[in-house]
Amino acid sequence: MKLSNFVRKIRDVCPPDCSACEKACAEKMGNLGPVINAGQVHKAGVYKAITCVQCGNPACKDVCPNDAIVKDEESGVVRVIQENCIGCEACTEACPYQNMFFDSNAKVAFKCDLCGGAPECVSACPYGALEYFRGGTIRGYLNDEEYLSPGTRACAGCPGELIYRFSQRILGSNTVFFGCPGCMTILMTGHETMAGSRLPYVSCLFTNVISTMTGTSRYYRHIGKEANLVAYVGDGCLSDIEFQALSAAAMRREKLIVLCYDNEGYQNTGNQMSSTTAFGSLTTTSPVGKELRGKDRDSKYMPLIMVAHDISYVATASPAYLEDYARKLTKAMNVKDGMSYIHILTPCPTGWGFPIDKSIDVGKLAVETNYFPLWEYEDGILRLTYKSDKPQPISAYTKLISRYRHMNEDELQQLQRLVDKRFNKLGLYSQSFRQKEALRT
Amino acid sequence: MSDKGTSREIKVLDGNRAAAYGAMLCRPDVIAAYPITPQSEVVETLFSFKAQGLLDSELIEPESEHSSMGILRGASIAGGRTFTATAAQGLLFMFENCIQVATQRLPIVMVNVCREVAGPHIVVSGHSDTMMTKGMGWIQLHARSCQEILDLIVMAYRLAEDPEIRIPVAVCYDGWFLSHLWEPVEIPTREEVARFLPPFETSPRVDPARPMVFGPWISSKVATEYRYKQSAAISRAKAKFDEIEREFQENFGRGYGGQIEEYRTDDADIVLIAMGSSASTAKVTVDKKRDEGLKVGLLRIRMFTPFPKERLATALKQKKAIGVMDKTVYFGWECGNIFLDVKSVLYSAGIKMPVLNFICGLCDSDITTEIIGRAIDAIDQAAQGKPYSEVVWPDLE
Repeated sequence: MKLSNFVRKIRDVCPPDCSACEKACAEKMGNLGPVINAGQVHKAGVYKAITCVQCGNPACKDVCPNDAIVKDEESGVVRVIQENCIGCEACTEACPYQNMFFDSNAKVAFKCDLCGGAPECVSACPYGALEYFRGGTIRGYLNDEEYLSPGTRACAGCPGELIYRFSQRILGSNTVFFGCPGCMTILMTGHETMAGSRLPYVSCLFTNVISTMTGTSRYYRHIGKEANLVAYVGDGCLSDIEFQALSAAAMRREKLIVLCYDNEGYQNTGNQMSSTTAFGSLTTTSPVGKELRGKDRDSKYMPLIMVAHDISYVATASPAYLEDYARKLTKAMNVKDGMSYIHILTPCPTGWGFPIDKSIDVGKLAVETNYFPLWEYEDGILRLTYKSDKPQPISAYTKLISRYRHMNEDELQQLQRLVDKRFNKLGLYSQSFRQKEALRT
Repeated sequence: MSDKGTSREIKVLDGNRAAAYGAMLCRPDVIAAYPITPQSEVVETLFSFKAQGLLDSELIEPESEHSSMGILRGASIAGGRTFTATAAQGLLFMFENCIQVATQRLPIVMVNVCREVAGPHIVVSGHSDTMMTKGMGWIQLHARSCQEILDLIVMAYRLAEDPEIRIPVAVCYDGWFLSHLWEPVEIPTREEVARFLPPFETSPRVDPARPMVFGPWISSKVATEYRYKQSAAISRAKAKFDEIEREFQENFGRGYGGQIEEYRTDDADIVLIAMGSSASTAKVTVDKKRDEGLKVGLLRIRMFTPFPKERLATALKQKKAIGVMDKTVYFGWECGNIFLDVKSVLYSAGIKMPVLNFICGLCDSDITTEIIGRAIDAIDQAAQGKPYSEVVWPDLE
């Protein structure tokens, strides 16, 4: 399947009376009329496509009886050849996204063709609300096959599900997943004779994920078999109860891919504090009252601990920067020997307290405030893979999240100091960062 | 065994080395073991075999027994034959994994070198580790000699991997009394063990080519059925073990009696029941008491779980009184574990007679011929209808 490019909304800033995008589209399309509806753009959530997504296997093309619809292999654009269109309207019926239109006067179908690679709607928007999204760069990492069943049993807005689905597409079919009781169990574990995914899954105890994987890995090595053996487990498991086994397996250079989805707490059991819960966070075991003010200490920074083990590959990742993650997981997959560890911050609407459509925004701000920097470590070198030009204060992040709502100015400053301290420490490890700093001063 | 393993050889080995030879002959794919005393020499010996090129296994020294059993789980679920050794706190630390592999019916074989569980600070022989874990769904076999340790390991794989059983097996022997006792041990050849124990074949196994979920959520009814089947399989292991041992005897020329070993019990009026290394001392004492004219016999429990209910009932049916030697105390019952189990067997079989319990050998204390002699005398008194104390702690008398 070839890439999908489309226009998406990236900022929720549309004033009610603006229809610049629709107007620009109408002008470009001429007689046929616009393929964007300003009202729908206003209503659309952030990161939602507002044009045709130029499907990999377009349903419109499949149903066309006269080969009037083609998909350009280079650009990915799905186009209507109007001379061939017989006006049967089969395509408008077939499109699952209502992005195929029909002109009843001219009796032809028409659709968004992304203005040949420079969409007018994007440049027409005075508020920078729209983005021409080149899906191809991400899609290039993905396998065609979707392994996870449709729908999700996770909480609404959970990016853990997104990462799981995405990881499966990247890793492909020669993969075995290992997990344990936790948020993602409901996706990963089957129910009686039904499985949630078409990749094999081994359910483990909270305490024996890494050791079980090690056993399978060593047996496979013994019989000369190769496969991606991947843990997808939470922060409570890896930073707390499984930590000893993880550390030992890292030391032994076991060939495993360990993905930690960090929702900063025991969210599956009702938002209890874990080692990765941030300073100040309100959880059910770090409550706020007359005597207590949320978590009273800094979190354990797992990825840097894994760097200290000097394993083959360590990275941090975010569901708000999927391409960055795709590149990192691909690297982890190609590690020839030893362990790779990716620590993914998956903001939790249920436990942290923010609206379900804000998971990606929260994830993005975690990176933009330097609260959760994106970096990777290999061959003894730590490198930031994204650097915010102008880091926002931590309050820009915490104000979105109700687990920080009780924090006063002093406490927020303390959190800011912890964030700065960690980021600076990371800087000491990061050669590229140091070079950049040198250039700046 | 010569380095090539082509002819039988007698070597002087301690229990731990005998165990390592037994494991090596069974060709495990993956071995993971943590050095915890008194079994550390099992790990050391296996690593030295590997260093000499005598062992073609993946060999791992993990950071704990918990991970040892986790690693075996991962290897076994993917289709491998596995081995580990542990003792005392180590067994308790791997406990939750032991339960999981038993419910998943993974035919893992491990050695437990029986030791008293802390505290106070004690690194001594005892049965409290095995007794505390008796309900974890494993088959437990207990050896009396170094030779028997080796032989039991070979038989344990046959039993565990039998398609009708598929239950993990723990081969147990007493810390220090057997782990560090040097005896002549006949080591079978690799070829004859290979004939007796064919390669492990299993399905399904973890394999991307045939994706499935290992350990899905299941409804209570299915889970209950699962437990029922597990219980039935453990129960089947009793007759299966007798059968495997008969076959072992045909092949290797040694047999021990299956689930239980009976010594001079046929015409005995009274019987002493023991388990583990103390049965050797008991044997000598029984001979001595026979010389004095007492019709006493010895019954040694070799298979502790599943408990050899049927064979015990048959063996004890006509007796006048029995005594049970326990190396643990079951807190809250003020008696030993084996004693309770034996009494339960007698009740179900409708056998009524005096049953005495001797709690001795705790925390490394010696079980001497003198102690066993006194125990036999007490059983004899009870058999004659005289008053008796049900539970006796001979070391404290």
